[in-house]
Amino acid sequence: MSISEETVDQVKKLEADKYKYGFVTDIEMETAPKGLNEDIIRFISEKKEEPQWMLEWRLKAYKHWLTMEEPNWAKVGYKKIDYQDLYYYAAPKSMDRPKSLDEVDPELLKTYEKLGIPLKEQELLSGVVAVDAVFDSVSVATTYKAKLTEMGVIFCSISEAVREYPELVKKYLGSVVPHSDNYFSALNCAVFTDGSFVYVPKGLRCPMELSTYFRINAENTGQFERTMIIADEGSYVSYLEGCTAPQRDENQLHAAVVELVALTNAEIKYSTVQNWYPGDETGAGGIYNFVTKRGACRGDNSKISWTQVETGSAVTWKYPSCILQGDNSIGEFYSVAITNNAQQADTGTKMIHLGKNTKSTIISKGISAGRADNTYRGLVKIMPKAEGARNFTQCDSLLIGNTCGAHTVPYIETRNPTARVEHEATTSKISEDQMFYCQQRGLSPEEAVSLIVNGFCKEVMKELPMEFAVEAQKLIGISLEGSVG
Amino acid sequence: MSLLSIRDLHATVGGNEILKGINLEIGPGEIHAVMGPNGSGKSTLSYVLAGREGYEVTRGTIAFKGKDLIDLAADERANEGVFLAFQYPVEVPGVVGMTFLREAYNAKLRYLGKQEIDAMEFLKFVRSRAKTLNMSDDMLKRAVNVGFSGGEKKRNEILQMAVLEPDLAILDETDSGLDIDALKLVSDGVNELRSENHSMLIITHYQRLLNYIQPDHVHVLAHGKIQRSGGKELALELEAKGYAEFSEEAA
Amino acid sequence: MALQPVAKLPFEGLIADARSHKLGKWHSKLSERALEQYAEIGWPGPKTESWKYTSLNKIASGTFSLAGEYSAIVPEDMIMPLTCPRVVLVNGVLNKELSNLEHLIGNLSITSLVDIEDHQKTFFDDLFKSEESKGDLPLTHLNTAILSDAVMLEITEGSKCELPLHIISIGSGNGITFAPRLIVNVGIGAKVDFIESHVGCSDSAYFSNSVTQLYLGDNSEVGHYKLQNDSRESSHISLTRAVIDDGASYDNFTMSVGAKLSRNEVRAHLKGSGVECCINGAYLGAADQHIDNTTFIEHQAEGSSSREVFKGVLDDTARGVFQGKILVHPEAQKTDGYQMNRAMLLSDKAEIDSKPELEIYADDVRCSHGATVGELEDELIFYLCARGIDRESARRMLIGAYISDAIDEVKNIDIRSSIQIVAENWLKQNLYEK
Repeated sequence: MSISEETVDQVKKLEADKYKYGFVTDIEMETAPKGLNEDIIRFISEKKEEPQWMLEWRLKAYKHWLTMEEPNWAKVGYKKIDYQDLYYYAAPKSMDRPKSLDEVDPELLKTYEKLGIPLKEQELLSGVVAVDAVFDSVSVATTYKAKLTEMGVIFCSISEAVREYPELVKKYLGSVVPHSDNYFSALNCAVFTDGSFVYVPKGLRCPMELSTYFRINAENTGQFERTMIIADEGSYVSYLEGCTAPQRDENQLHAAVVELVALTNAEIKYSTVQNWYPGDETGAGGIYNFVTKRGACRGDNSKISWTQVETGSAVTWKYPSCILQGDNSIGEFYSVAITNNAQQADTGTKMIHLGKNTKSTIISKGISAGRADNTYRGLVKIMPKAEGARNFTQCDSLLIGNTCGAHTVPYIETRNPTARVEHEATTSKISEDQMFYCQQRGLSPEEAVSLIVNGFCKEVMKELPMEFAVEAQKLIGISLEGSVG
Repeated sequence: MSLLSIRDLHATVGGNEILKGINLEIGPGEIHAVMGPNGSGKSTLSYVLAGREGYEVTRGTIAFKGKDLIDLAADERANEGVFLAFQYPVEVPGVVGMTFLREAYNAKLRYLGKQEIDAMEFLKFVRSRAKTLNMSDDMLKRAVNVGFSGGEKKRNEILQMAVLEPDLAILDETDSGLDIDALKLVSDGVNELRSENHSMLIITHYQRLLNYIQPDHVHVLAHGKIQRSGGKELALELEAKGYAEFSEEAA
Repeated sequence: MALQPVAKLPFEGLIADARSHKLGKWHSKLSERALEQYAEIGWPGPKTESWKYTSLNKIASGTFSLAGEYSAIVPEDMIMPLTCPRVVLVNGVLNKELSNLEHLIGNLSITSLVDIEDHQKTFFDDLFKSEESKGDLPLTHLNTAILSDAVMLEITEGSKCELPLHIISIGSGNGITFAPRLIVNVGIGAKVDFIESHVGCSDSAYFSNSVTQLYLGDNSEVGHYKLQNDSRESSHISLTRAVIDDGASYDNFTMSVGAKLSRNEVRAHLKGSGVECCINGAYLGAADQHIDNTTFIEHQAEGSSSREVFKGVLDDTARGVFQGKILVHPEAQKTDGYQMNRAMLLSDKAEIDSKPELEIYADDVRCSHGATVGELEDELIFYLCARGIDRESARRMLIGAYISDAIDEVKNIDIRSSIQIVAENWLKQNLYEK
């Protein structure tokens, strides 16, 4: 999705008092000291003018988090995180903003160019245009937000939702990912700063792709983001998250939580392109992306579909999952994960079949280059009542070079005789024949790798909304640069 | 001036010398056939010209349009105008033929410093090329060579050649594995492309392809060297007598 | 991965008894070392990843004593139906009267640990030492710690054994535990097929903790077939570890039908290149049986291939577990690895848990795995019925065919037929009576 020049200019002109139409409330840039304790949580809650129940929920999560241990089962290694050495609210940001694109890191600009990002947007991305001025570029959404409101769609920041729609939030918050779920989600429950909230009313097919981000993520909301999407009976919504442009962030730890609820006959399509800073060639400085994403197909005939293209971050730990409660409900997971240099990704999904005739499809494509490790880890669980459940899983790995690793760790648990579960996995490489054939037709080695890898990922790429697909294709090539020759 | 000028070309594969001093001149618009027994170095010659890794030139020169090819990478040679129709075209899963061809076409345009072509315009162009060849462009809707029959693969190579319009096309055993109908279709395509701007090097074991594509010159390659050159009558002679004359003992 | 040691170390008390038991002082040292390692790793608990689906709590909390009786009657109807030379172990100890070794050819030797001379002890010491420090296998250390005997088969370089050798391990007695230990040393270019039948006397409830070690010399050919048909109240935990050198071929098949709780763990280390390794199996479970097949194939060198086919049928409340891992080292280019587990559930309460795993560090490899679960298709049954076959027979026939797919992988034709008979008998007993 691209921002037109107009909107950018419009945003530039925005004055502070207009932010209230946007997603983020008018927060003064105050900083809380480093570290985590109950006072910090009270401070965050107070800043957000949250009701008492919200504060209590946060504190409950915090107390539980204290009893938990950081998980170590994933095939990733990283320096131990000192949770007391982090800012949990409005970390100070660098005051030196580049004055023009000339001052921006040329490497970054090169990437923008390759992705075909318009100049105006490049300014936004590289911070030439102050993010404060845009303060959540999301306010650009103002124009179409009015349209959405008219149709009955609630699309706002989660902080706003807590204040404006407490009953909805109370009913669903933590109902898919409970505060006790895992270490990182518990931390998120305690300290989440913002994120988006979507409610699509009964019977409505939301006519536009929703995206909180455009390309720019507000500083400080990205770190402990919380997203909640509720699709009421018979509704449909498609939601885009992230962007193809490389995103840099001062915060190394990202622990987001996304909860989706699809009621009877409802469908949610959630697409992600994740391109956080992967760190330098040694992996230093990259983002730790520890995300909990889960959707509940609560109603009969409901459907949740996750599509992700993961190319960024130093460490990715992410398992977008579906709980298929309603009869005939459908869960889908389409994933491309690319790791290069020192990147590590441990990603996959969980499909929990509870209802009758529930169906799930998992297509995972892992590409590993450099010294990277890429793991698919997934669970398919068929519960005794899931009469007629079906699952199909295809996990393919591609290795580029001989210093990287590709791993597949599926767990398949079946407790119903009528279930049919199929799992296939393969590992292969780009053959020398393929490279020569492409080169003989005039493609450079980089272009050849990009083309072949895109072909390898085709089944996933075609699930992406058009807005994302073209750039995501380019992104695949860019993230594998330097992996051959 | 020659389009391609090969002088005293020696090349090794995995340390074994396969080409032992090849001399060959191909002028603009000429069709040359290189014939020879199995293991004579025919395919090696095509790979060496196309710049495949692992095929090392140890001596001699290859000049193409006056430019030295040896130091160019495979993609650079392709963009200079050298096209290799593969004996065994390679499968590229998931990559649709049309996309593949457009990428290749645009790579060449970029190489030449020209504006890239947009998708619609390219589609029209490919359709028109396919039509001249009397072929359908249906193949281009599928992933490159994946699940193609032997004949389809070879036809696909000729279609790619027609679109990329190389100065020099090397047809490596294009007739192998083709039945008579497919052979005719492929040959018709090649003949269609015959013009003073397109030279061809046809590498073949058998004479039968040359019934359909009339060469200007025929060369016999054996033991890494061109043993004899002549007109198209040489091909007929080989058909009658076989390669016995060029066997190890005879050499 | 750190295992979670439980406070109490099961069988610790028995280990001291075992030392003075049968093998004397020589074994004491061995046992002490094994105990140390066992204690360090601890008993596998619920958080131990490799034991995620199989709980050993019942064994750990049970009361067991060491077996004291080493004679029994061979339960002929339970062993693999095959006529060939026999080596019989009762409660883990070689019983020479029950064994018939007359037909053995000279280049195959059988040594019992009970009989070894002093000068052979260093050799065995080294052998056991080589199995130490295998961090994730506490039960192997427990086996070493409570050994009452061990049997070593040696096939000298270049010799080809025409007849297979049948090793029969009998469990006899209630509330006992024993540790069968088999060592198979196959010389360069040698060829041998052998069978392990694990059976029990009547309704004995025992815990058999079995370990088989194999060393396959260059270009050797080994068929290793196993029938696990232990008493229905017993527990059978076994580890097979094969170290395979250049150009050797190893054909392994396990048929699991017995015991209440069983685990058949096969670990193959493909040290050499050009190795052909097959680890196959079938499992048939009914009532409250728990059958675990766990495999680990490690490709260490270039150009080896491995193949795994497992098929299972589970009825009543039976639970099946399949865990299969293929590890390909960076050096192991041109590896070809294939793995497939298929299971069929015949009852609402049956369960299958499957974890096929690939860990790959070389780029020029072809590795694939698959796992499927499904039920018998009604359409197929109907097709047979439409040809005049009654529903029960049709069902049995189709399930039989399903299992045969895996049994057909067995390279030795005679043994393949024997396994087929075992499967058919199981189907008759378990699927007709309902």
